[in-house]
Amino acid sequence: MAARVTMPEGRFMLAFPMLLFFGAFFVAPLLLLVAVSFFDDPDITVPGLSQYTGFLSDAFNWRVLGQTLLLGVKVVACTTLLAYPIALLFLAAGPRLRRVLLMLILVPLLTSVVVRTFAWIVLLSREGVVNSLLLSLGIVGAPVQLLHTELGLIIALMQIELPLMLLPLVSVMARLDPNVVAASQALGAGSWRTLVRVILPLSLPGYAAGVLLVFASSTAAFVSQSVIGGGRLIYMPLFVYQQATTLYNWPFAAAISVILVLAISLVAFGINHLGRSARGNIHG
Amino acid sequence: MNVLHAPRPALEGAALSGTGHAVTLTGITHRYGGFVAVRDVSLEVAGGSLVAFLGPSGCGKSTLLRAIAGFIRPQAGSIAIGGEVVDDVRPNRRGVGIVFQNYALFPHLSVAENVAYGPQAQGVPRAQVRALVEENLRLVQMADYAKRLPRELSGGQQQRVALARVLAARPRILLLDEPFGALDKNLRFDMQIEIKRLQRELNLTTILVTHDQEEAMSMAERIVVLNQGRIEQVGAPSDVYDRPATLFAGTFIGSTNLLPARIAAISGATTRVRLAAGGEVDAVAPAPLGIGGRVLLSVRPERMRLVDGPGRGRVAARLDVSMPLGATVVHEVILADGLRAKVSEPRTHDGPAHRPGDPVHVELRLESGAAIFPDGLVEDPEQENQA
Repeated sequence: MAARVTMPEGRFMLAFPMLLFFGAFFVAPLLLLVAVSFFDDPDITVPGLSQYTGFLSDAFNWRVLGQTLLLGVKVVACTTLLAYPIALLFLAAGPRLRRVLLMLILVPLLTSVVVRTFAWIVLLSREGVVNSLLLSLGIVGAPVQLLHTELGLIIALMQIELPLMLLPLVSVMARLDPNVVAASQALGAGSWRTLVRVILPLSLPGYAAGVLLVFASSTAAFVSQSVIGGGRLIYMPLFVYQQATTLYNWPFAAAISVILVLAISLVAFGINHLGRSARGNIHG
Repeated sequence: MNVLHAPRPALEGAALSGTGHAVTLTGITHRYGGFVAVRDVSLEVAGGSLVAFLGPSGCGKSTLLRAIAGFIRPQAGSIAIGGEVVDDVRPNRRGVGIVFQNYALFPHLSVAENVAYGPQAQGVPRAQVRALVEENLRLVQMADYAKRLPRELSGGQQQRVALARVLAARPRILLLDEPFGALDKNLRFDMQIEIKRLQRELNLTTILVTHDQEEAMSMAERIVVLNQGRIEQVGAPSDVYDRPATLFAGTFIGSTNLLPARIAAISGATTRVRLAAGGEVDAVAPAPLGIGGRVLLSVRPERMRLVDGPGRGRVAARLDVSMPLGATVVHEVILADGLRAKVSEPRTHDGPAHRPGDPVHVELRLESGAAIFPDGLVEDPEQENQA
């Protein structure tokens, strides 16, 4: 155990600037949002629960919520399929290849999400790169509709969210004791058994963190959802935006926001709980 | 707490797996990039024996171990286990058990699950797996901890679980990679005895990799001294200690005094040397040397003693410091040529016969405890003549 650095009594004051900033620009607006959601009329004069009862009693709203959460699940599933092989490659790689892989993982993060989203329009449109490739290879006879479809959105989000899945996953792989993998082999386990019984369970904490980040980020990915999904696919963030800026129904927009935040938090809590029970295994 | 000395259960038939498979290394060479870790090593480890690979870090001992386990494939040479060439056999099919320095227990599995891992991977039927787990946990006195997780155990307990885990997989040979490094001194000694006992009862060919010469001396039947990827000497501990084949083997194992000398005469196996500090003694030369050649005479501290008058095989010196170390006293003396030497004597009840500053004579008793090596390896004349 490293000795704890002794600090003067007022050390908690070091966090004060951040607390002030978060209090003023995160906690206060959030409380304001919650407060606004408990008004019945768009002019915010009559307090009441009608926004929530209204939301919960309409099947359309439920469908939007469900599709938003489902979008998160699908993006998590797809990024998992891409990220694990790369994480396993990272585990097997030597220090030099590891540095290269880490660079490749980080580079996309240096470009803004907005830029990447618009790049995906070029790639996914009817005359875009993906369709020209599919056509020239003879895989499809006519251009495939990708833009403004859920498939196109998931493809784009996979690329956009992949680093968020990879970074925590790669960091557990980097800490995984190579002797544990060697021990599994020496005890007679083949690659598959070693993967399923040793590597996957030990990478679970990193995976849980990645799932959390990708899920929260893709369900709230307003720009990608509205630009690539277009107006036909409605997810919660766009729903909020429409209610607030087109219909000026601020209390309903606030209620949808609160419900989305609660839904994501609930999922996050569940994943975090799973991750925590697995985490002790790595730092045993 | 010392449970290791409690009466232990007798071994059951299934545990007696080792039928003494020999390990044969032929011309093993391995490089990491430009660094040659192992250079043309050939060695035969007899079935059922306990052999130590001894050397400083970077001498190639761990590379050899990893090559035997199959984790690395040497660039040249061949490895056979029990007469079967295993160069193309993957680690999970070699039947080689390995205990790592950090034990490398599966942190997410209980003690029992860790021990069951090997038999399960080998497709042993469930009832038999359970029997193997119980038997091997009992063998290492850890049956009461079956449900614990590794992080809930002490270092010594973790090591015993690692041992049970490796034995439950019924390996043909056992590799121990610096297995005692993380244990405190008393526990280390207990575990050394424990492993030696198990190894003997199971007749399991065991290779111990260590940089600790005392550990190698006390545990192994044969010691393989490695330096810079090469074998310096192979022999029984007493051979390696009393008749080091090379200057490196002489200085790495035990402590020794290196005294500059010249060859005075050669008759048969004995070589008479004249010490730079004065006096002539007979010694054993591992390699033929010419008369008049500069040599270093290696004398263990316990092969010297302090005496009062001059005489044959005696060198004039002055006592500098005496340090009582339990049963022995180590004197540091300054010889006539200015070099320092250490002399180890049993501690007597009469109190010290000599005091620091006293002129004394050092008597060399070289029946079997000295060897001479060509000089030139020690370049710096100011260099400490102690190893």
